[in-house]
Amino acid sequence: MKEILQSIADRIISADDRGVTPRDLNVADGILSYMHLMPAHTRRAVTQLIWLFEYLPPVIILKPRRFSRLGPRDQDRYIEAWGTSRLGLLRTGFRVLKTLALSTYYQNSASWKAIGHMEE
Amino acid sequence: MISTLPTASEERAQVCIVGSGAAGSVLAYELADAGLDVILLEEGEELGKADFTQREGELIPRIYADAGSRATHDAAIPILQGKCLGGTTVINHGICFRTPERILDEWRREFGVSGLSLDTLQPHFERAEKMIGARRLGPAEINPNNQVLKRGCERLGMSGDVMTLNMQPCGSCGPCNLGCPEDKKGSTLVNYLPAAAKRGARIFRNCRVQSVQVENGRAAGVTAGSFRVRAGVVIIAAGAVNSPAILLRTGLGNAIPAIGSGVSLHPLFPLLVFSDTPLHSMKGLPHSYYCDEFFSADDFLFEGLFVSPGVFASGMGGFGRQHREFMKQLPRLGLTYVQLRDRTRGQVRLAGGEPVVRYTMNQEDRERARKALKLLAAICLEGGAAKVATTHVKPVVMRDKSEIAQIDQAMFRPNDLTVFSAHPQGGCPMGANPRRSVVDSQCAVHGVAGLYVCDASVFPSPVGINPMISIMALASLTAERIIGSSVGAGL
Repeated sequence: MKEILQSIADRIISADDRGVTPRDLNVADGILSYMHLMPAHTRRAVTQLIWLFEYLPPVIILKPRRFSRLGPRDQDRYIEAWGTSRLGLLRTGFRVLKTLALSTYYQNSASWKAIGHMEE
Repeated sequence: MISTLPTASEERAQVCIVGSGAAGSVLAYELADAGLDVILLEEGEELGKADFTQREGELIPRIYADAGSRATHDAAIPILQGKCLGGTTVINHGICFRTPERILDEWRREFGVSGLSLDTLQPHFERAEKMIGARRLGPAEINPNNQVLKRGCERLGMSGDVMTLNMQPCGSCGPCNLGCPEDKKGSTLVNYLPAAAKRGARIFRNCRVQSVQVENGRAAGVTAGSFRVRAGVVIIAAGAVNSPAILLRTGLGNAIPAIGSGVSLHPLFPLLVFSDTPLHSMKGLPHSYYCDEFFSADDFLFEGLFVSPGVFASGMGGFGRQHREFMKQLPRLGLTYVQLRDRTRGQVRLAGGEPVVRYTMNQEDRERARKALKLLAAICLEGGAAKVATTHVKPVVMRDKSEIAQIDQAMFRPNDLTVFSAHPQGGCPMGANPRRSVVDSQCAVHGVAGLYVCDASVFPSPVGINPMISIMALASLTAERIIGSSVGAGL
């Protein structure tokens, strides 16, 4: 699960410029810790979503690989396919994963220097 | 600390109040001030200003409902509600609007609500505003982000004004949505609740109420895990999600079929503002100007805002490289939003004993949101924004008014763009018809003597404006009515 979340965070956050990366900030661990604070029914649904996201590339973008094994370009195409899908369930999945990744990364003050936050 | 953890398995009081937010804290103060023996129960913990460290990762799980993960059934609309002593008044931006007269008229006309007029509420508005330190901001307090909205309104001849907030000038330390480390925000944590405790109200924290005890058709107390409170009057003030959930867990759903119905969310549609010059949108009071040009005819408001980085980043449009490029411009980013008085109605239901908010925005509201975002884009561009962007997965970026029509091509289905709710209302609607409402015009639950619901859940239709003062005034009036009623006399 951690490996999947790391791959998702890498592509959604895309901080491979001069900023610290999601791996530097242990975003995947942060998401897993946060999930333990969620109500049980929400946590179960998010867990199922993460596994579903990992294994649906063959169906969604016709690539016979798990998400975490795709190349960056296909990963981005796959994420966008979820976010813009005609299926509400996939758009929900995109929203949840995006929120988890971005909020976990940007609430860490170590990410702020690269975006100029709290600088005069 | 003004609260304690329960030590006995059972306590007794004349009045038991569930929830310590805008309604519960006012009720506790007013009833204790009248000499009644009051117990107030809060699900969350008590924090003081030293605890409000501005660290999102630490605070959001502590002070937001469901650790910040509360949302509609399809995750399309996060629902931001406080879960700590002081409730949502701790995490909101302190906006003080009085209930518009036309909304009160609508409640009377369409739902049979009686005794709720501007005249009736006037002294209660004044009382609440004084208690929480509401003040109209000065023009110099409009921060650069909100200035974009103001300039745009002025240049286009549209109606707008500075906010009235319960916030005093502060050190501009950061986002107000994480609680105030300077006690400059007049949340009920720093006024009503200490005053209630001083008047003898007993406040218990970390008490999650499962249900109301109903005996022989009247309220007899509440159960919170192994802790029970016995009281002849029970007032549920747990908010628009938890109040109906408590009534449903009590087993009143069959007798009162309207429980959980009529939920509105006041959906907020953000619009990102890019400036050529630094805005530092978190400096100053982040919520300092609004535009009400379209409120009467179209039922939406425009407001300026900024929030903490994690919430901001997750709400911004796009993902990956484009999102990162947006974030790297943070000092020059601003945020405005549409606040829609929605026509959609959802429901609160239970799943495994927990509340689920079922709400799917109807087509009419989606088109109203589209219209409103186009108008807001025009205002912000006129106000000096270099460009503006929607929060879609593929954001609509507009540099010129001629590009605003691109919004017509964008999708507005659930989760196509970011929508927040900070003002859930309904779920225990007020009205004269017991088949279509949960409480009467006195906030008394139909058919259960001594049981009241008093918070935003009783609003039969959304108030349209930020609801804190409406909730507080209703609570103040309800307390007055309980004190003056036979129920109050019998206590």
